[in-house]
Amino acid sequence: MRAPARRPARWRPAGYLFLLPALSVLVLFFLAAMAVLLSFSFERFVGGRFLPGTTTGNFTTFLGGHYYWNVIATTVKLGAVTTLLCALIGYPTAYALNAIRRPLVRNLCYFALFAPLLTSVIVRSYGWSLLLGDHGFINQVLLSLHTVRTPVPMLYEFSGVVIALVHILLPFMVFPVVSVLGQLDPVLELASADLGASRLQTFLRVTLPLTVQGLVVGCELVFALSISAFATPSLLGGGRVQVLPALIYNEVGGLNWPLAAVESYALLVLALAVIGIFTLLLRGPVARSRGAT
Amino acid sequence: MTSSGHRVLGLVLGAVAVFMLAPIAIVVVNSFNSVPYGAWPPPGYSLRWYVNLSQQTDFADAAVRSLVVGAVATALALVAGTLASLALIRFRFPGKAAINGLLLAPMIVPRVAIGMAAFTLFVRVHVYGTLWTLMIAHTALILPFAVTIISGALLRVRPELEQAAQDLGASPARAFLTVALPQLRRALVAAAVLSFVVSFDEVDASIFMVSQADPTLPVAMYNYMQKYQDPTLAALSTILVAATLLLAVLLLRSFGVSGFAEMVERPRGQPVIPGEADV
Repeated sequence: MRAPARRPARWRPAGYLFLLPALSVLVLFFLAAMAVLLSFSFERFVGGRFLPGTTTGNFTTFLGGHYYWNVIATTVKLGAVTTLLCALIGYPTAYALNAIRRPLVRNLCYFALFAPLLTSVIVRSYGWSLLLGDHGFINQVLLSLHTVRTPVPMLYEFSGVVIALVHILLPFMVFPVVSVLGQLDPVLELASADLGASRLQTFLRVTLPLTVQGLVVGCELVFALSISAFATPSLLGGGRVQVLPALIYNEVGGLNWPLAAVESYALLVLALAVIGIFTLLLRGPVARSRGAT
Repeated sequence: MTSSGHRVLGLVLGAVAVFMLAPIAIVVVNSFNSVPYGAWPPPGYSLRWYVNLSQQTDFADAAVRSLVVGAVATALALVAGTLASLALIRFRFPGKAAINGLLLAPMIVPRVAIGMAAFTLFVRVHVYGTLWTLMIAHTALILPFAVTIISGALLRVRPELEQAAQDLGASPARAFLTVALPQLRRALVAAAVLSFVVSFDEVDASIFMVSQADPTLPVAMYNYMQKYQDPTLAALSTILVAATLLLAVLLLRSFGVSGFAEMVERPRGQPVIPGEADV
């Protein structure tokens, strides 16, 4: 018998050779760029010109300004609201997807959920601008049904950005939940019912604890992606929903590159914090909830 | 489950399907609008925005740029990603965890931060605005997708067959190319499609790296939407949606739904989905 397939071969320098193409791209482009970005954050840069010397002034400007903290607050709020809505819509959707038995219906539902991922976010944001505007589809329907007297402002509002982001990120919530639901042994739910639990009890005490891991992974993805979102908030927020990624882009246009560099690192720290919190959640309470059942 | 339970689940799915498809459907309808504003319902229908689009050579140039960048970056990422996956799965060496982390880092760092970083780098070394820099940057952005998919598939390729080929006199390289690579075919196709789609639709990082005069297609569309609201964009979007639909149908026909799900699934059950981190 030969060695088991999974065991890596013994140490050989060839491993590094195989890594050379990928590592050169990552070191010469990615790491180099992140390093230059860091150095930019200490530059003195006034009116599009570099001045000699370094400064920590860009950091104090950013951390000391109410304006910037408001932007961070809007960014986190956008992430939190989007994640909550995606979880509330995504879990039942995943549950329903998992319950479908007819292949045709199942395929159509998968198609409706995942095909939009292949289209550009610009196309989807444009579509939402047509749906959400004062003269757009949704308001015209509401007006014609006399549900509202004046158009509901959604385009260029926080609500519009949230709706579009939920649309874009929902698949990232549904996918991890569907995949844990698929691994769930249906016998467990049947056993719970046989032992006299109601359907709600079975769901709350068996199904949910065993699949909460997928939900948390989904929340992690959606939160991290929504706070990093640029195109959708800037196209549908119309400058009125100021989030960190859009601020960075505006700073570049306004020739305040060092401040944009500081803000980029702030965004990175925010994203890492989100991932860190969710990772702790997955290792702690979530792991316990799976073990408890 | 009871039939009322089924009905509720059916309603949920129906509503979600409408929600997911509505923005795309309205773009298609609006592309045939006879007036330049997005009022509902359209007062009339025409093909004038398609005619207008055909006269906008800027979009055609941008589309060619995006296709070239996507093709080159995908090819580079597939080669570099396959070699890196081989190293990670088949070899043991010090620093593997750190290298694995570095390979996945471009998926974790927000795209806008990567774009801003690339901007500072390219400005500093005076290569800002060139197409090849964008190709390199996109290669880095899509490498994590390629590596996750290919290394996941490589884990399932048993080295015994290659060993047999070598015992019969094939060189290790020939054994890999003729025995292992055909087994990786599906993963390679999946990685290629995913990489190309991510590159072709990339906005958040690319917008920092391209000049206003030579944008990629999504950046050109972003700029157009900031300035104008007329349905020329709808006509262009409809063409892109049709192309996407064709791609989706081809994928479903060659992989099936389960294969489609499998190809975007990481070994640990976490998804890799096109457009990740690009919103």
